[in-house]
Amino acid sequence: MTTLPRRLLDAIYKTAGFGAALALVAILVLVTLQMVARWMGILFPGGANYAGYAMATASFLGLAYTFSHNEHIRVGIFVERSGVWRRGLEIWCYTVGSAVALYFAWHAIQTPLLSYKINDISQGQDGTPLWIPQIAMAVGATLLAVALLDNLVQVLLGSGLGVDKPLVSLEGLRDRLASPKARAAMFALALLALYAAVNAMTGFDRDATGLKIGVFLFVMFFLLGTGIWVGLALMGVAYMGMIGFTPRNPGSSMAITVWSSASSWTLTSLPLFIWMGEILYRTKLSEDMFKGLAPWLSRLPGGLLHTNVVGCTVFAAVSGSSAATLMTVGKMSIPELRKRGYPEFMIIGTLAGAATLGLMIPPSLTLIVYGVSVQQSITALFMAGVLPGLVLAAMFMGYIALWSVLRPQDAPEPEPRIGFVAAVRNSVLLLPVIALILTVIGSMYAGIATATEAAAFGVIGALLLALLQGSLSFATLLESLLGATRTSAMIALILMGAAFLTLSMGFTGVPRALAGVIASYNLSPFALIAALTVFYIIIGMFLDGISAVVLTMAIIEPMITAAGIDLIWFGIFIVVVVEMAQITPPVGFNLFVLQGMTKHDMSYIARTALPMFGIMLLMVIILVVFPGLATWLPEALKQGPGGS
Amino acid sequence: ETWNMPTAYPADNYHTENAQMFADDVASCSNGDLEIVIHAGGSLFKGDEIKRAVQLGEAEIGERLLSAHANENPIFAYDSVPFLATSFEASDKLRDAAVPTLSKVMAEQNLMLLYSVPWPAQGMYFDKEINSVADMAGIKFRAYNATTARVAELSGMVPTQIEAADLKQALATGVVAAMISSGSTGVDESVWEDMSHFYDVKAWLPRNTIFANIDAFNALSPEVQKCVTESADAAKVRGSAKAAELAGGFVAKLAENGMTVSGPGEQLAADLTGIGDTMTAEWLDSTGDDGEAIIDAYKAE
Ligand code: NA
Ligand code: NA
Repeated sequence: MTTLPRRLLDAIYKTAGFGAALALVAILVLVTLQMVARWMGILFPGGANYAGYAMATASFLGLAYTFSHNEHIRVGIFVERSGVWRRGLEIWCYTVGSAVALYFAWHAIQTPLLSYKINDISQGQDGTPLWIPQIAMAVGATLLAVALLDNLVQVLLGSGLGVDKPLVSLEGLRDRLASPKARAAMFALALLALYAAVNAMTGFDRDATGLKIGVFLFVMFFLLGTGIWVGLALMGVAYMGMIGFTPRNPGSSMAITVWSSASSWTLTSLPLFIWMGEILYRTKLSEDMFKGLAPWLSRLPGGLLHTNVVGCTVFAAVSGSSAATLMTVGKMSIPELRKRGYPEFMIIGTLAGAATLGLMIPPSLTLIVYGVSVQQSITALFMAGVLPGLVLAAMFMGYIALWSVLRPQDAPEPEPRIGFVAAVRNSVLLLPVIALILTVIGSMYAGIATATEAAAFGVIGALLLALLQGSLSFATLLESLLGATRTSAMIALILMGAAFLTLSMGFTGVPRALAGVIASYNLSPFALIAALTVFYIIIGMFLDGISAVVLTMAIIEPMITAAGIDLIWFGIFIVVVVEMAQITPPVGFNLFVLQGMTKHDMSYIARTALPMFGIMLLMVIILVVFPGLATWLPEALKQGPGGS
Repeated sequence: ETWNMPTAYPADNYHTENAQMFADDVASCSNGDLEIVIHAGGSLFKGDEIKRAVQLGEAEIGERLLSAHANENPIFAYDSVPFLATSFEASDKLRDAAVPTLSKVMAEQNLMLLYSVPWPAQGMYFDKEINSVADMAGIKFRAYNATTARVAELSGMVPTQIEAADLKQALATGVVAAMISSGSTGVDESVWEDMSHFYDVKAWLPRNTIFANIDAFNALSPEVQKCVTESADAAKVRGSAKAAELAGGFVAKLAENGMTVSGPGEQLAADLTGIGDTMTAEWLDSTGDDGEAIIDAYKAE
């Protein structure tokens, strides 16, 4: 039974999704044009800005479409276990979600209007009046609100349970909220809870740091735990912090930071690398990579699980983020490893851990942000990341080997052994991957492309490979594009929430206060590093790595310098602890991405990644004991010819 | 009362340190009535968000490289007209000449001009010796805004768009072989790893401008308002002095790390003055009476 309004709404979400996909193609075209223009010595003024607008358009227009595909992430532990009370919990989620999305939409609509009124113009060479690209923000956020309200109406009036269909069938179970009265009561309760919370927030002492932290933690755990979509929950927490501990109206500040985080040039490499992964996933490349690596890696104890680590290490050398590394390698390795009977626990865990190498092995977005904030050479930081990255990869592989020795009963049948000559012959299958990686890396190091533009090389290279293999049809191309659009929009919504939360934290002064407390103890360098490790693990539970670095560096850097700690070394230290943050709940990017890919519960994924967390902790100790691991290579290169 | 002050530069940058002293002065002369909390390094609003945030009252006060907003009104780039004001004294003189016009333009945007502090002068970095503009022909030059693109065009170089985040890599891999930037940027980016020559041509002295939201300022008592403007005047003088003191240090650091550092030779200086005259005329065309007023006041003294 599909009614006209239903068909109309679905058509609208889909149309917006296609619009987002077109914007993703536009990113590719713009980045490529800018690159080609530079090669030819022609100026393409504002190219980076246009790519940023396309990035924002892809993110915002994709929101509702992604929601209708149930690809926005939420913490499902309690939702999945709610059984007969499922509808009650869903009413709560959709009520809160709709409230946040409506608030977001309202201010997203104000944004272009305000930009028009104050004549806000792009600061780049494009000189675009900002209200024009910001229309995408208004439209996309409005559609997201419509999608949430659409589902709220369904859970209140219909028989459906929203976009997130229960994993275990509730067929035969009594719906405790079957009656209209019960549903209305639950809805009223949810509204009342929101009203009470907003009112309770305004009565706090603005200087009580402990209280702020407590409230932040409670609201965050509560919203995330009850199953509110992560990006919306972060916005909700940020809103609560702003009204509770600052005298200002959060809406317009939120719009400013959300817009600039969504329209950033450096971010454009993310959807491109994701798209590259989606294309590769649809080629024979994954199979080939396994056939090529298998004869070599299957000789190691732990067998093909090592492909997760080796794959991530190699891909980390072309990607600046761990999410893109995870997506690309995961899309290839998860199905292959499952097919061969490796235990799920090990597949997921090693992947979650190894993907964090994307941040450490250059290029690295985190190191760029760090280098800019402490004014250290980014090249030196990149060089410093190489050896620790390889050591960390070796430790992950050691863990896999140890596992296979300790639990031989869990390992699947070994791959059939083939001779050395056959293994070499099979390795030919690796050539396309190696060619692709060399193209991307080579384009960067030969100065043909910047780190951001190299992603465009990746997509074009992947398309060519697919074309040569004959696995590229229009249908697969479209599928890969729409898949990349949804994943990008999913990550974008979380980044938008994180940007607003970062701003809110900045206004409340919580990170500064925490860092100040540590500074007041006057610790020795070792104790300082130990304390900072704990500190970053704790804030890493709630913030993404780049925000954590930006928020704290202003306070931490003087402490580090005063304690005589080398800033290049500290950059690598901070990347390791930030990598750990990627796999700790409740806010861990790799956990979210893996949840989206595998549909596993987040707590399960976090448990599988726990040993990796331990290994990274060990890595911190190794870095402290052998600081030369990070500082030797940059020093050695500086001494070379051309150095001083 | 607490004011939040977002700035784009790290806490140990002299601009931020100067702003912190300004905040301390305000706290003391207002007897604690007004506390200014500095959020350094883009930890609250990012550099390119700060002006809008203060305009709309999301932050009460902020610091911004105002010339970045030249697309809105070319008058904001008064400090970045190449080869117009090429010393700290000249830059301060130009600032004084610009205050009436700039205050008027900013007031229309709900902003109150407080003070501004220069960066060290922009010099030119090359990977070879340059004696005249003719020597620059065909070199790939980093352009990051309309002014730098025009400099490249007028000097026969190839303008190459590189964003700040990509700069170091672009230098390291030879995507660009020349740029115009201050000595402090050169030190920050360890430019000696990639470039050999620094010409201290003093093209212009970009200024960081500190401004408040007018409504927030008007809400202060007259005594506190006076305290803010007096502290701003002190910060202006202190900041210029500090910039001048540091400038030599940055250039010396470049030399220390093996770069050939010198002033422009006679031919190069003459060529660059010609480019400066062209661009001053172009800036005057785009700014009309407002620009005329600034230049007249500047030349009158
Ligand atoms: Na990387
Ligand atoms: Na985390």
